[in-house]
Amino acid sequence: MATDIDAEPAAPLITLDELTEALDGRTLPGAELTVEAYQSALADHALLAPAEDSDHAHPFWLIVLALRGMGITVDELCALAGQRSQDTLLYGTCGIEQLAPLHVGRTFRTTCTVGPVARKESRSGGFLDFVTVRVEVRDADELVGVVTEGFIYKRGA
Amino acid sequence: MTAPTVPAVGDTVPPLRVDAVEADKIRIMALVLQDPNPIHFDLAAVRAAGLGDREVNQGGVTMAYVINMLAAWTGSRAAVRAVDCRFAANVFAGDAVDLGGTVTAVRAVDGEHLVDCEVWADRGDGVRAVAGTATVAF
Repeated sequence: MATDIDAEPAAPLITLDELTEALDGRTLPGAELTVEAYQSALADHALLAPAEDSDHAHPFWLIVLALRGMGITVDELCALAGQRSQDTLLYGTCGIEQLAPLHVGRTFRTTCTVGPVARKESRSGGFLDFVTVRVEVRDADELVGVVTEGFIYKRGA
Repeated sequence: MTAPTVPAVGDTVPPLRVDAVEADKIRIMALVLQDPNPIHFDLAAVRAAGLGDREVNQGGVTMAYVINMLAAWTGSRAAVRAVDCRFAANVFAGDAVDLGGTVTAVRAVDGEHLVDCEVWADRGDGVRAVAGTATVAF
């Protein structure tokens, strides 16, 4: 039977300096992604979107492109943020700017930067780490959208 | 077809209701988003996370319902210029969601009217799941 002495020590909490060093100002690889017609149709169905008689994709696709277009996975972002098994990732905020409608079937290029990074102490005495990710979406050279996502790491004891 | 009337400050955005979020639609959106988080499709994972016994809707999808309301109001997806949301509570499969909004400002910019709004998404039990702001063009 395992004793407390045998138990694995809990992973240490990443320091704010380490978190800042790992993420603040970091440029992520970005990606090239196509809004495929069948995926657009499936998303419209699942989102209960009102009928649309143009070829404009649902503005929600900016969020899809942002999440799929960081150039790293959310799991990889969590690793950079020092996420431990007792930490919980929350999707805290999301902002989209649609500068021009996204056309279904087009291929978009995303560029991605991280920052700012901040830490606050929660009411329960734990820590909340705030990581902002900004993704720009371009159709050819035209900037068509900007997505700003706020990820929150709720650090467990 | 007549042009839509430009709203005034204090006007209500025509509300929209999702009668019940469907688990299968949450699963479709997990695929579209390529989101591997099992709380969207695996009830064992939902229970293990202490989130009850129903699939959790993606926050971005609840935000998309707000966009649906704005697109239905303006008559165009292209008219939705900006939406900023804060996610305050989870929405689960089976929940009703009530979308609403109020006009806070109307600005004339480059020959069009930009209308700023407060927007929200409330669960059927009255809990506010999403609160935010939006700008649409008329």
